[in-house]
Amino acid sequence: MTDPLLSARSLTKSWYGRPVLRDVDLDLRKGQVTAVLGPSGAGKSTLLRAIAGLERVDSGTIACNGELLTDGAVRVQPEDRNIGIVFQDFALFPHLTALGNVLFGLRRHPRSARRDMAMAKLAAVELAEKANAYPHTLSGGEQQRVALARALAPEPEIILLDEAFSGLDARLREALRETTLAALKASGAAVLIVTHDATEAMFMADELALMVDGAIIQSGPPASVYRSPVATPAARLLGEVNEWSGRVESGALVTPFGSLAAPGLVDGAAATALVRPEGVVLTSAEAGGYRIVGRHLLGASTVFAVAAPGGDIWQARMATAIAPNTDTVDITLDAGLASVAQAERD
Amino acid sequence: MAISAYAVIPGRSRFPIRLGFSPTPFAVAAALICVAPIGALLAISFGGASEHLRHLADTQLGLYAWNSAALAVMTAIGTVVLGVPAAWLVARYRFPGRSFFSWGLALPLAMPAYVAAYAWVSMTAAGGPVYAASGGALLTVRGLIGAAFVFSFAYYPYVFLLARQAFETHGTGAADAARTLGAGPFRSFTEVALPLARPAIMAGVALAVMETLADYGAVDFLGAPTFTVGIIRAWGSFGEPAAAAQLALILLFAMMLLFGVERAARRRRSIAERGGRNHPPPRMTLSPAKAWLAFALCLAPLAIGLIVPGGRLVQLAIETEVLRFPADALRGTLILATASGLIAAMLGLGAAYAARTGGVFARGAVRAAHAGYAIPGAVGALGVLALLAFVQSMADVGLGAAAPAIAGGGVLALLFAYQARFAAAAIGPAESALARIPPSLDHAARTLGARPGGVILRVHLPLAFGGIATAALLVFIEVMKELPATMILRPIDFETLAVTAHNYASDERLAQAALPSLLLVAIGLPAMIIVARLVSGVGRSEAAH
Repeated sequence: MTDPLLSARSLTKSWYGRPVLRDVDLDLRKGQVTAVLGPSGAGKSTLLRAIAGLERVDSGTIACNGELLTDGAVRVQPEDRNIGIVFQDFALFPHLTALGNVLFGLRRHPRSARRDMAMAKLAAVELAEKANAYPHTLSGGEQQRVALARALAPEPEIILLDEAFSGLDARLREALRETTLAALKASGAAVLIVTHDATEAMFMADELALMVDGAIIQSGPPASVYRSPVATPAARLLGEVNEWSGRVESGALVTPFGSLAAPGLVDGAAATALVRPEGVVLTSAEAGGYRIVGRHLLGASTVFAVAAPGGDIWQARMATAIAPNTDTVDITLDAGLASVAQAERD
Repeated sequence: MAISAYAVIPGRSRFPIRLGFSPTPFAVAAALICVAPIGALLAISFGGASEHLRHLADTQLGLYAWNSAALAVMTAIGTVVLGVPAAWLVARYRFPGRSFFSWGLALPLAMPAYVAAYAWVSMTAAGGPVYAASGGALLTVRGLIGAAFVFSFAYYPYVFLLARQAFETHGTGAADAARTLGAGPFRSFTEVALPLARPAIMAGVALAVMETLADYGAVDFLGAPTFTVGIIRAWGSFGEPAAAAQLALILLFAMMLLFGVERAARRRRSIAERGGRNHPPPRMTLSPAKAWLAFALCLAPLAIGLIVPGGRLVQLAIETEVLRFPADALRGTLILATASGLIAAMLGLGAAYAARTGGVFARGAVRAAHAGYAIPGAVGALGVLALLAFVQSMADVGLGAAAPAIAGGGVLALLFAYQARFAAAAIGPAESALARIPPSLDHAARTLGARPGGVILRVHLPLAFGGIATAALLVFIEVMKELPATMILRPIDFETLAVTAHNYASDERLAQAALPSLLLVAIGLPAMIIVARLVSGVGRSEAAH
């Protein structure tokens, strides 16, 4: 793995006594997309703004290429950081055309080259024909692409996206994700995305960090974070999860469907098995011990609610083609989509 | 989600925006301009003897107080009766001329109350056309009732503008809801829309009453002397600056009470208007008969407040042989009004930056400058005189005979007094123009490599230009109409249209007063049209489509 381009270390900050960043470490690497996923108010935007130099932190450091940008106070001003941002509200300048917005950041380039550079950036997001349109005449998706072209135009080393898709409707969001990702990858910059949308985070990210209450609780490649959450909140952030609590015996948690390894937990500790719905495998059984109480077809997959004899309900998701069609089933667990975490203390 | 995220942003982005300069001096200058004259006024009123005031108390003070109070009450009622129904009609219904009335009903603000008074008296007094047509059956516009009539039609636009905005923000939507719950059109207005708009209406009434109490020209001419007349008489005829200052302080006290009412109403308004809609529901169509009735109801205040008196002035000006075209007065008015507009725009913008980015001190200073709007022209002018006398005495002590003569007033003193009164009128629009610029634009500009100064030049100024130009125009109009401060502070050979008109009218030479009066309206009206359209968002909604 390459050395990080930007490193944030031990960032802390509080607002009127309420912590918004707790000892946060984060690395951004060239050519790599890092996503920070968390619910509203988790401190994601504060982290992004601190990296941009738009907000100071109480303590901690942010360094880029070995240069100290922030040590509590802002050392290097935002305009000197070579960091581009796509804002949640896009923050397009309403008095400038799309082209004018993109040109805004090109003051340090030779005058003769600016216009061509800006037009090229607009063309890259397929908006060349809207160059002379004012922001209020553009659709939401077009505004987002202008904002992206504007952030990319000065060729920053680092690009930050602050909930850059949240103002758009669901279908547009999916369409824009791909073009945005392609443009970001093509720029070769280090990219940070903060979002509260799990699908978006997993789709875009090479490296995923989960943030809850100002702290990063888990990070790693999206697939491993999805498959092996280290705690219940981490598991819930990325989607539906079945939770089954018990006690660790001989290094494993024994569930009704077999035992799951519980590394790092002592025997007798309260633990929770976290199993993704697609890790709950149903097989048709006329006299099975589990009764299907809910069945919803989603197209390629089908989701089930299955009642255990004790009354517990398990969520399952299976490819429609192999889904059982009986009323009762047997259950097995896919250990690759399940993990064991220490039980929550609440 | 998008809404809650927006709501969080202002709190989050308290990151102090670096301006490249400190705005605090602007705020302090604006505050000092307003506060220093009042301080000087306090000093001379407590320093001077009080026999004259005691004499006044035995004779005239009761009359001044009675007239002031009666006019305040009658004008308050009059402006509500004229302004609120028109505002509701314009906000709620579709009828011929509606979109014109939405800003056109503000235009009487271009006609100074004293000019309207001249026109009405010349029509209704013996020998005038209305008197002749009615055979003297209609009352002459004179005295207390006449003044209340003139003020109601001159100042109802304050109530109209604020009420219309409140109705459009949420009143019509709430009234729709009330209709679906079984309330008729009348009940949905009186029980839902009206209470929602009450803070806005109160703020408008407070402004109208403040203008009424600050007026000198109309009450002097119509023979309903209020405190302002008392102040000018004490200062001019009796040469009693201390007595004038004492009277001024009584008036100032009343004004501060009204100012407090207006501010409190504004605060409640900002709470009441939370959750208002950006797009009010579509306006309701009226049957043709009712639509024309609505048209007539909206036309009446405009006709009586502007068109009829304006037409009378035109007629008088044409019929009268002009003795002397008031070229000096025209030049004087334009110089004073233009200079004041420009100064106010700069002070207002600086103070607005202080309010946006500065510390507690700067914000407090801006608030003090706001209070200047409550200082009547006569009071402010006396304060400036007192301040100049104080500075003069300091200079005399320090420099002896070499000290320059400052105390007599002059054009600079006049500009000073105008700012004391009208800088606040510029701070408000400049502040709201800046407030409409989301902080994320600042941040976007910074991350795109703009220095703090560049953010101001390349982002703030282009975006806030409309608001600041509105502020400058408003001050331009106000200074043009201003009479008492100009009378007190102007150099003896410096003429303005307002003073010229007043002097002719005081000599009962109304026909000669018509031309300068008409010039005032002719210059003020185009400026007022621009302001009214900008304030009503006419241009803005066109740009958004």
